[in-house]
Amino acid sequence: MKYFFLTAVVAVFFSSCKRDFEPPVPVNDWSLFLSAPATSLPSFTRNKIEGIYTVRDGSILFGNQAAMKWSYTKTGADTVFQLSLFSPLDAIYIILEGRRLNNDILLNGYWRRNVNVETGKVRLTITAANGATALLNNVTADSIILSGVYGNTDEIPEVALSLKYLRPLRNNTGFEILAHRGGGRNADLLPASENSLEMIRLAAGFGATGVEIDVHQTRDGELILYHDATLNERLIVKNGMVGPIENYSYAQLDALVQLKRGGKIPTLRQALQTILFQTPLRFVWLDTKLTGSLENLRALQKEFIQIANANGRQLQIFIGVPTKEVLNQFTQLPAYRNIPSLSELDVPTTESINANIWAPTWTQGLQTEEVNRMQAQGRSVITWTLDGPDRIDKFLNEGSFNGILSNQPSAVAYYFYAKQ
Amino acid sequence: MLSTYLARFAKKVAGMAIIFSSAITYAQDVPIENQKFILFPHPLNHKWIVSVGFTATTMPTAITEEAHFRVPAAELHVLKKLGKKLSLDGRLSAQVIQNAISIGPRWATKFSERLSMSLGNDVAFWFGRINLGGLKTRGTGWQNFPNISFGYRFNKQILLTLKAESIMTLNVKTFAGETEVQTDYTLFSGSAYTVALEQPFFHKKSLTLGFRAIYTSYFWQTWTLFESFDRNLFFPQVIIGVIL
Repeated sequence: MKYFFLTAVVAVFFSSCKRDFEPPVPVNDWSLFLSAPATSLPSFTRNKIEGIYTVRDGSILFGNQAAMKWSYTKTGADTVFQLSLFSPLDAIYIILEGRRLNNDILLNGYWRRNVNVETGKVRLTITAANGATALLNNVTADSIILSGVYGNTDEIPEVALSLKYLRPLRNNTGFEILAHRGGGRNADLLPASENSLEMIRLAAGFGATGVEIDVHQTRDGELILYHDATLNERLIVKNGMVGPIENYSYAQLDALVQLKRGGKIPTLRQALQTILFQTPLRFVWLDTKLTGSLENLRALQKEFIQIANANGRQLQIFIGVPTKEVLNQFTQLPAYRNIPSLSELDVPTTESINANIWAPTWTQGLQTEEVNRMQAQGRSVITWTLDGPDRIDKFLNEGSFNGILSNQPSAVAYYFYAKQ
Repeated sequence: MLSTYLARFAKKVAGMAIIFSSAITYAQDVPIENQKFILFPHPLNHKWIVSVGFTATTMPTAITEEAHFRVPAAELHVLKKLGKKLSLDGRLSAQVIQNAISIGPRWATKFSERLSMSLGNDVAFWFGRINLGGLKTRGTGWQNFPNISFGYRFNKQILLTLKAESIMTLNVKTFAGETEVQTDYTLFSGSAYTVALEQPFFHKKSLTLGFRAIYTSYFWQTWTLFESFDRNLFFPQVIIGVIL
């Protein structure tokens, strides 16, 4: 028997080698950037930095070209602006904050390869001679050159990185870059839980113009953000609570459940408030996971569309119709044909409920004929959930979609903004 | 998370150990020359060795999400003696809708009556065709598994094998309908480590019980998920076989 115990021990050793990856985000510790004399950048400076850049040093990691775009997060009276760099390679992105130090512009942050856990610090400078003087004085610069270093993990960055301004970003007035589950899945190892308020705050920095969020309903009728049908260790910190999420009251979930990568399960109301008042996001896809009546969902959608309009904020909120069960509930709603909705079902069903958006899965292909038919009827077409830079490039170049839902919104952002 | 996983796995191993322990009680002390083995790295003493059984691989939730499932596959494993130390190792792993076949040479030598080792290289081809909710998907791929095994023979004909493999993905072609899916993969896409026991069972048959820890960024049985992760995920695999 001892051999079998020995084998069991060895086998358990092997099986215990399962690696639990943590979201990698390097510590922001550039002393020059954090020094007291460094001040925030004026908006006109930020706007002029946006654009398509040629990567002169660092193209092995970031590709030959990159798109740079600002986004923001508001918390109370504070607004944090972030400059994101979107690369064509492996959904790599950089997220930076900017400050002015004397006559230079400092950009400090980190890079991340979305498909794995590679990351590192990034420190860039636009010197006075390389365009900062013009940018800080609201004058068009002859050229803008960002130069500095990047590194791996938490090491001091030492590898040269420089970028030269090439042209403005492609104008985006109507194409939707949608981030899956509020910004990304837990499996993407981002520094926030999927479908959390913190993830929603990150989404625009990943390049998103909007988010898809999953909506369940608790036992006491509260609409919440959660993907799976049950409480499980993929999404929450183990606490002994199991079974269908709809069996719990919101008070129970709020008091007892911690999301896997931090944060609480948010209500849909909290999520919409966050989107509306703390981010530049303009599109919300409510992926309907609840099984019963959609009346509460419709009421909240209507309320927030009105709030957005009253605040002069462009925000579209669509009720997703992913299954026939949800379709049955949706058609019970009064005047359902006038409700902003998004149908994942076939073309005739989409037409029958007068959905504003048709959302076929990318695995159905480009479907040019059907897409044209939908667009001729005034509907938009958004495909999901499209990942992989090659696939994204193909669908953007060969298809005629109005948006893409992705786990890699940064890759969609690069290919959209860089397209001439 | 880890403690739950360990408890679950320990339960599984304990169950299998009970099966094995009953076999041990009746195991007779026979020389290695008369013993059958399929994984044990030792020069073959039979012209052919055939094993049938199954493997069960647990898929990681990182790609299966809420559907945390274990996929069994029927296994046919054949060794053909080619020379004193050389043999041909062939294997069929079948799930009907997706199957894999591998073949490759194995060179084995023994250091003593107890210790032995082998070197091998298996080239595998997998193919699958699945209708996913009305969408016809299909895929094929090539992989290569250079491997090394060390064996230790215990007193009562219990053969312990420790095997390490490198996983090389040579090609992947998958289609969703008529859309070719450009599945990303890396050449050196992981490694696998096996611990296995073999011993006489009944009626001149032998039993194989093994555990294979697979760390890979591309496990062929997950081709329908079209995932684009480039980091190694853990696929624990249980191996059970009867050597005929």
